[in-house]
Amino acid sequence: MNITPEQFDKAFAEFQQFGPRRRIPIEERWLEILPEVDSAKFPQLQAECKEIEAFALSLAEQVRDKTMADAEAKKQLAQNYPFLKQGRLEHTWSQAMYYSFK
Amino acid sequence: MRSETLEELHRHEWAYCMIARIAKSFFSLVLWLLVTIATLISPRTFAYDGQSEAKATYDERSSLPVLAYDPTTMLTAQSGETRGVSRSDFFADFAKFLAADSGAFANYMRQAQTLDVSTAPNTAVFYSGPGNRALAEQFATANGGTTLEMTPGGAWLDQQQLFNTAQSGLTTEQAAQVWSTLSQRFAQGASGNAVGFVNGARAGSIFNTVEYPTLVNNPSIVNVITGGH
Repeated sequence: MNITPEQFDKAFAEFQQFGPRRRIPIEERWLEILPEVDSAKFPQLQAECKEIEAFALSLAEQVRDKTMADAEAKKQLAQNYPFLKQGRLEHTWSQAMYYSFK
Repeated sequence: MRSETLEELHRHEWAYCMIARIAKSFFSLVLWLLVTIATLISPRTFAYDGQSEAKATYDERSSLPVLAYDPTTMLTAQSGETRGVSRSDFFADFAKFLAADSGAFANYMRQAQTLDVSTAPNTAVFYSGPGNRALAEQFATANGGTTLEMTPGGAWLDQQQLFNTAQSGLTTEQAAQVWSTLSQRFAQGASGNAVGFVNGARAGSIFNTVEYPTLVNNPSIVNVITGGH
């Protein structure tokens, strides 16, 4: 069974979640919130979440260093991952900027 | 009967006109007095931090350095630095300062001073630099540690999406400043041994500019153990 866009959105939101629950390994949290998804798909799902975060971070670092405009970076993020919903894109971008300053 | 009524009306009309003229003259006089007093007591320009009065003439305003609108910059202008602004610019700046002070930035800064980022002794975990977040989170998960992102305060601030500037009402620099404040409090609240995964961190990173200096000056910290990717 393939992962639906709604399931991916839920999985990625959990992956990005800040707070005390972040101590719990992501696979355990996904088992809890996505019981219908085959856990064998979790490594692939995690790799995809990490890839999106890494790409967003690479853009955010350029915005931080003022070598790319904020709007251009957001456009590239949306173009590379068109399946991400608007809210998820915005949260991904905000977190990427945060990580770029850490 | 009819002529009496008209006469009355004319009398009333005349009375109203006189009252209006007297009131207009009175307010004009008051306004003139206020403008005159304001002109006499106020200088033509406002000087900041060592700016010479001679340089700060109204006619020279276009050549004067622009005063930053950021209220924090206004408050921390370096002593001896030449900064000047015309009267009208001053009021515009002051209005922006008031707006910023009572707006989103001030609000988030206040929140950053009170959010819960507390940690138990020997549990605070820091990171900075490529690949180190994953290491820090793995270490924290395996050893009962806490990164800033694992605190309730970190979770609340993340939900605000400060770097989505259109939504938060902050500039990127202001958003970074709010997070820096929370990071500083995280380091201030740490105690015992603190662990930092920081190899390869930028010189200008929040760890190097805020967290590490705070840890070094934190009397409750015994040791800062650093390593990383």
